[in-house]
Amino acid sequence: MTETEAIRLFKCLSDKSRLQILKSLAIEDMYVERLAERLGITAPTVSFHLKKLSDAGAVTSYKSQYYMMYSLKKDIFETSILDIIQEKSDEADAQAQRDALYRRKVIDAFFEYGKLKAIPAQRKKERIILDVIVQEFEYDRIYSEREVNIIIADFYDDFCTIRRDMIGEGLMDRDTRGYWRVKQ
Amino acid sequence: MIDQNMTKMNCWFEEKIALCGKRNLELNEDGRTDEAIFEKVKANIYDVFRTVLSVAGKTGNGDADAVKSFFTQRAEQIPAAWAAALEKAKEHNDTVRMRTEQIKLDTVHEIREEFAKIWEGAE
Repeated sequence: MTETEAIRLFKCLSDKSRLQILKSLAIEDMYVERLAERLGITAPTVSFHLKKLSDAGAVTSYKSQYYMMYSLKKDIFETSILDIIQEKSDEADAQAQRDALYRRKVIDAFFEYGKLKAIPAQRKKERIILDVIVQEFEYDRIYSEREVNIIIADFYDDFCTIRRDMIGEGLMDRDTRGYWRVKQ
Repeated sequence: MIDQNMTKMNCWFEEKIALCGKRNLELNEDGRTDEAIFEKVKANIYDVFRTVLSVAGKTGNGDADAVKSFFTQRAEQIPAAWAAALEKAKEHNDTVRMRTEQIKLDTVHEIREEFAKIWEGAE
């Protein structure tokens, strides 16, 4: 279910008459007049609600003799709210694009010819430049402190601060053996 | 007599509008939001024709037949667009639009009947 479909379904369900219709259809398939009789509302009003429910993908219809029967689309209601929340949305793509653009701007502003001009004061920006520097480290390899310092020094003279901040941000880790790049 | 008819018709409009307002509140409180909107639609139609009656009264200038003629003419003209919209909605099987247009037309029908009742009752 896409984000748009989920919004349409939730909007559609926020009406007591439509919920009552769904409750009736959960018992058995019904036609308009039968629903109208059960719920005490007019047949045209039931048709109105059924159309909205149908557009939201909550009900489906089929012909049975002279009647148009309506039934619950059970698969829709078997979807958990968590599934809907976890569904990748168009907005997530747009947000990823905005993030990538912002990242590019920060990198362009703080790096010149591959060298870091200054350590950003904002943590969010510093995280981006640390992400760039950490790319120089291989995974599954232990580096000595000297090796780490040399790699960082290619970017910035104050390698101690960068090294410490990479540990603080969880990009690198260390123990008595040395330093290694943390898998994100 | 014309003043009496105008007053009767205005009272009827006010009662109907008040009733729609009451139903709108009740339905909203009951979580039946779309049906609450139907009541608002009806109230708007009553209000439109209350205005038409007021204009008819001024235009007729005391002449009962002129008032009747003006009002019935407008009561035929105004809903013509709604009837056309209803037909279009039927063609496209747009049940949602059909419901709204039907409510408007049903309300006008009710207004026309009440108007005729009051005016003919006086004749």
